[in-house]
Amino acid sequence: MALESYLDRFKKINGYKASAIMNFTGEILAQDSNDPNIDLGLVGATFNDIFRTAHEASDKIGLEACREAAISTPKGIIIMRCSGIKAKVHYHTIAIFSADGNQALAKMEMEKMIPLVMEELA
Amino acid sequence: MVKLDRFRAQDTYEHIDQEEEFLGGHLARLHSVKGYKASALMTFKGELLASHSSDTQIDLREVGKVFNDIFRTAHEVAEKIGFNCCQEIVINTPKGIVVMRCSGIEVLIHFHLMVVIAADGNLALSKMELEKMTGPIMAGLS
Repeated sequence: MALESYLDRFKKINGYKASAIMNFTGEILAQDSNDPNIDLGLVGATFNDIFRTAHEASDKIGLEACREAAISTPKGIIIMRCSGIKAKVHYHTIAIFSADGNQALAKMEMEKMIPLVMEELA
Repeated sequence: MVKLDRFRAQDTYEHIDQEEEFLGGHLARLHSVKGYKASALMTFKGELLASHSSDTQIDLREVGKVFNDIFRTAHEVAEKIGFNCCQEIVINTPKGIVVMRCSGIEVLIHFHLMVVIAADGNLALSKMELEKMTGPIMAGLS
């Protein structure tokens, strides 16, 4: 199955704007966007850096590397999910929604996707 | 009345103590949240104004700045994609949750609040408390 097809799961979620699957260094493996303002190449790489810094910072205070980060703004929500730094394949997923989007459902879909995408990438 | 006392005592050691007590008092609201571990109040540059930790492993004086940097980078990127500045970041880890909250960049005083709770802690209540604390802290600092 093409990697892009996994992103289809997000498209039906209320408030969906864009999503991408990246390797842990920030290179985009698959992407989709319905908002011309969102340049996933730039945004994905920058948020990937934020996520990696969060990995280190949370590790420093004994919480282990972070699995998920959700950033809320007045106009939207950005959710990032990590497959796990010790997983078979360490990758990151990013999904962007409007402020009233269904972030709970997005998080559930991200969780469900992990073993499937990992299988695909292994 | 409290505000007047604080004003009179400016530039004294007593004043510094009062300030710490005043700001620490606001953070105390978070202590009763289930799973609470640590909390901090910082300027938007990451300078610590008050902090508290009930977990010896968590020294927010050390890592507070790193989390603050994460928040500021998120501010910039969110603005770049037309989302305005970020209000809140929630970082989930296997052993805990870090929540950061911004007072707002266009308000009188731009500060950041941070709380660390256990993975099974009450995230919703922490978020509510952070939201409720923002107004009184701003009023006190201005």
